[in-house]
Amino acid sequence: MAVKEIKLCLLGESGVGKSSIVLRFVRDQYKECLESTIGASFMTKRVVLDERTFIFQIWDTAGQEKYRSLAPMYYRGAAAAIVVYDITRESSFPAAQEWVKELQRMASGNIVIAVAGNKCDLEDLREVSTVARKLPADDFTPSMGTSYYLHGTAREPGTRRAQEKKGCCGGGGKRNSDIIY
Amino acid sequence: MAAKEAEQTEIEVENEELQEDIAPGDCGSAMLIASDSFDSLVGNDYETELAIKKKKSHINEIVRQGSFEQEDSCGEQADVNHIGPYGDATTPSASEESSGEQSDPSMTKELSAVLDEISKSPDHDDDDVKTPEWKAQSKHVFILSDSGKPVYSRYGNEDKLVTVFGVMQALVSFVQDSAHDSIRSLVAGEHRIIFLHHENIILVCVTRGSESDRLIRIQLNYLYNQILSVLTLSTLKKIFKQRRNYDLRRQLSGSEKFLDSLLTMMEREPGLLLSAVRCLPLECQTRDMIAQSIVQHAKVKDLVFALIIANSQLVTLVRMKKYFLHPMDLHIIINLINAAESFKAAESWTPICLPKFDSSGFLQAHISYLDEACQTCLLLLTVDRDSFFTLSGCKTKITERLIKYNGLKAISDSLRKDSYNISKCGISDLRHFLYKNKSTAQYTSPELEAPYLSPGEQERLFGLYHYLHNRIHSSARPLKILYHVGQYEALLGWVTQGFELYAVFSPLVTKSLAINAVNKLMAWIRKEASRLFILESVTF
Amino acid sequence: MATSDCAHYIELCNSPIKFEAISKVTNVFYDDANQQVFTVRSGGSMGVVVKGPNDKTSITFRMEDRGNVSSMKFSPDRKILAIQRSQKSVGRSTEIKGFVWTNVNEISFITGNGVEFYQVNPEKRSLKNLKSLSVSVVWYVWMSREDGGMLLLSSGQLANSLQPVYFLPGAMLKLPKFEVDLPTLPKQPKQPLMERDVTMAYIYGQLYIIVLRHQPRPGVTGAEVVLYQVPHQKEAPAKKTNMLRLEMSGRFAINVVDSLIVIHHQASKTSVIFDIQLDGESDGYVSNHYPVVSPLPIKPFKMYLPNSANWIVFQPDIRQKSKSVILQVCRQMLLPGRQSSLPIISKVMDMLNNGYKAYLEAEIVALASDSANQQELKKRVIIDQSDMYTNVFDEVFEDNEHYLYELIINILVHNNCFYQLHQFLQYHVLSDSKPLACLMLSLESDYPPAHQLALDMLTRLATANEEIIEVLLSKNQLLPAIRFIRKAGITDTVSSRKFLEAAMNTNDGQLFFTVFKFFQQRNIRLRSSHVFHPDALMPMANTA
Repeated sequence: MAVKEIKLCLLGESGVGKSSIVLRFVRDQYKECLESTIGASFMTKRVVLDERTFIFQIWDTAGQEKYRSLAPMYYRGAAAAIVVYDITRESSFPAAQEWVKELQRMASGNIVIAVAGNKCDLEDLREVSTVARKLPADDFTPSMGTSYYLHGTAREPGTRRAQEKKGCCGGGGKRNSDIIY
Repeated sequence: MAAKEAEQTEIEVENEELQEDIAPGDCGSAMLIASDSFDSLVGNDYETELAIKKKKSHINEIVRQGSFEQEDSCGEQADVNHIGPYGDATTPSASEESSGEQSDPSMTKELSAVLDEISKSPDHDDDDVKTPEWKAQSKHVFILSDSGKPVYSRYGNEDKLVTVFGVMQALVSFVQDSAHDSIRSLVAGEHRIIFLHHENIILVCVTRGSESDRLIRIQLNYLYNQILSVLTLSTLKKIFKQRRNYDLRRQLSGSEKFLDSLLTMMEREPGLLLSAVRCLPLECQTRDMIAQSIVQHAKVKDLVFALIIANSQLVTLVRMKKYFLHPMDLHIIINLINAAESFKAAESWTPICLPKFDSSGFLQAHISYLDEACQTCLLLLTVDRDSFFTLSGCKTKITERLIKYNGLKAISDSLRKDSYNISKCGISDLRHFLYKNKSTAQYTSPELEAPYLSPGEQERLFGLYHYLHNRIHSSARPLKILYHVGQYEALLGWVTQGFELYAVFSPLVTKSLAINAVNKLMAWIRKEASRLFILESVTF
Repeated sequence: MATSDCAHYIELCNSPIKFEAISKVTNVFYDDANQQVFTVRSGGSMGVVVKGPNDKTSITFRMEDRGNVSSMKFSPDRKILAIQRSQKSVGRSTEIKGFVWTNVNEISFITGNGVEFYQVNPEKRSLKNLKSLSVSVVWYVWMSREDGGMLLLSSGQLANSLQPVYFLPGAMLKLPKFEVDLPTLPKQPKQPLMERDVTMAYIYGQLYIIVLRHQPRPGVTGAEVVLYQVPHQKEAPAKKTNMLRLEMSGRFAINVVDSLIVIHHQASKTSVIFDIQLDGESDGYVSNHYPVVSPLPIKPFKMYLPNSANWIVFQPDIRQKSKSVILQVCRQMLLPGRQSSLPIISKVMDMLNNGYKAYLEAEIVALASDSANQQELKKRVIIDQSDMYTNVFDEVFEDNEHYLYELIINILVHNNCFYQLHQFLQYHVLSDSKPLACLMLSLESDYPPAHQLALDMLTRLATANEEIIEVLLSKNQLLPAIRFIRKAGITDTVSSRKFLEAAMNTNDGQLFFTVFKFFQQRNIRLRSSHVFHPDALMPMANTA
């Protein structure tokens, strides 16, 4: 059985919850006060899906500004990138938009970009309006790759889709990710 | 604090009775750069800056070396490393707001303006930080830019300390401009205010404690180097050259915890004061085996340093032949590991600048723990930013080998609380000691035990060591031996060409008993030297 | 006036010499030189009883009755008894006024014309005339000395021209004459000077002639005593130097004891004491003195003794009781309400101290040299500290302490005289003792440094280890206590329990650790095991 290695990176402003998502996905763990990432963390996750084995090589990047310039290292050659924003923090959304633009510009053409609005369990603290988030979707033209709604379904492995929703959305944990595309 | 404890007079003694011999721990090959940490502070700060500027960039050397070996050198790579990986992205964007820029040339005017402001505005934003608790803190540390922009405050929120920062900046520039000198310290009531001014950055400590000025300046210097470790000196200069008012916090966000943890570390870790590194005691063969594991499996191009750290102690260091590690750099590395839990979760790949090694650029560090319990940390420092997977592979192989030969077990055994007890020395009345071998820049010290188990008592104990150290190294009257009887302990400090020894005894000890004990201790250290120190310098 | 026992200066000694009263058949004579009383019954045929104040038994003998005896005296060595039977004996035409033994085997006869100085040869029973002095004599006064004596002859119409004659072995020396001025009273003729009003005495080493004047001057009530000092240079005449004022008149008797002049007033039965060394008013020539202390009566005696006109006075050995007298004086001086002024008190104290000091010095000299002086020394009256304390201070201050030092310390501390306290201790005026150290400890609340003074004292007393340890431990000075026992070499014997208990009480973990370790090491040394005896750990068990 073939084992497919898939390079995946998470991008987004500092503190939006990238590491939490990864932690949930890789180890099914959640830590209340997870420290901010230094540089980048690397983790692997083995997923068996439809009799195929995937090894996700996940780069969890640090969101601070000073690490910004390092990002190419991580998305270069990546099959997928998850850009994360925090629904309770307005400023994280434009930042996410910037990332998407950068990825569209710099990353490989086949890269699958997913944008995740994290911390849905904190609905009452929401700052990013549900209306606003829809609009950018139109900007993501099919020419970049298909943006689609991830929710509960896995993608066909063959098309190099990024995320398995189940782990990513942190079911059972405090933080819920509301994937919109 | 120790000085206040002193009840009896100190006795300064000629060392007729202490048996001086070759310093235990001497070895032919050194791996660390030996120095006294305060040497660099002795001269004018400006001169120090000059010295740093003139230093060659090791990283460039290494990269160039690597690219010579490899015909297909990537120009981009070399450039990036030269400036720093951040490149232009760190240039502050035009939309950057400037606030509070002082363009008024007259300093007196500034000073009085600032002071006026302070005196007339009680209901400033400072509400939060002018609370009694804030004021009651014994030791404040502030870092600000030349232009007075807050960078860091140990306690409180920097935003709410704007006027305080303003005052500090005014004081510094006032002295600079009017007296063409740099302010070093002030005394105000029971507080001492110590300044350290490096180019672009002002570091200030306001303390009610009894740490000496010199010690505080060493600590401030460490903090400065911690900042450099995150940014590099070149970047720092470039930033401020472009924008004098730049808010450095943007670059340092997320790094405050390193400054916090460094401050804590400095209060507990004697190595910073001694400018020496503490090694984990290990049998010589074991350490050798560990080092060889690295040599064999990490002989990778562009790998400059490989080290294993356990519980803030150095297990082994393997280095590129030409290059040595400075104890300060190692302390910064240790601080990095201690402050960041995230390394324990997964392998990490992060840039780090070692200011003493090369302040102009970054090394890239692969950081991972070798064991489940996350006690033993492996660091691989390279100039090649793309070598993650290679190094990851090295790590795996090294781990396998260590497990195979029980290296990890030996390390964890040595980490047990009772493994290095003072009782092992078999000297009664001796409670604790610090021994530093000057030529190797390594020191050894037993685990703390009763009566120094509580944090308060440990702090007090280190205060005593600081006191001893300061008294002996006092530039006005340097001493060879100092014997001091305090309320709770008797202290003995002994400094020679080859080593420094600081010992703590029961207060009931007599001078002759103490000297006798010290002689015995030296003999013991000599006997155990191969275990307590790294005597072999291993290179790739 | 106080009626208690203590208010008397002079009392008859317990065993006065009893002798038969003068009667028709009994006559009594007094020998000044030997201090003996002769009782002659029936001219001697019935016996002569001789008693002196120091004689345990009397000497009794008989002699032939050859007529009235007018005076009887033993020679200085009591070998020869001279009896003057009549005024005219020994074959002379002039009246013999009296005789004196001037020395062993030397006798002088005083006649109306002068003095004749003879040497006696006992074997040959003969007399040899050595010298004669021709002067008209009204009366004479004799004062014997060790090796001779002083004879004062009175001549002149008013008997106030006095001629001193000085006797040494084998020699009789004439000293310059002088005149005693007599009181002048208006409308009254001058009274001649009476023998009974004149005495001689050595006061402070100088010879004085003491004259009592009853009516000195108009405007002055009371009698006076005038002192004429006979200078050492025998060429100069005596001069009037001192005047003692008595505020009484009547009959007086004068004694000189230890250079103090004691004057007894017969009528009021009181005596006053004068000390010419104390300052008095001076008119340039003469110093006038007032009594040292107020007069107090002679203690009434139980035995009735008629005060006859011929009141012969012994020179009593006042010294026997002088000590108590002095102490009484001191006591009286300090009695609140009746106390003397401070300068007088201090003078008296100085006097006593000087006397004591001189006594000590003399004692040292005497011990070093011959022992003959020691007898003399014993006679000297000294007041020492215990006397002072028990008799004077004790009553005055009503304290229950038995030790003078404790009293002093208390007084000094409570009066904030700390400097003096330190001085006294430093110069060992107050001797080291354990009770004293404990006293100082107890005074710590009033004067904190007393604690250290006490500790120092205990340290000087080499036998006070236990106390020192207790003191140190009570003050939570554990490390000094341990250093002390180490220095004293008693580390192995002290009880560790005391120390551990004290260490626990300090609530100082560091200190306790040190103490605990110290004794643990001791255990290892003594018993090869660090385990403590269960008793030693009891204090911890109780609070654990």
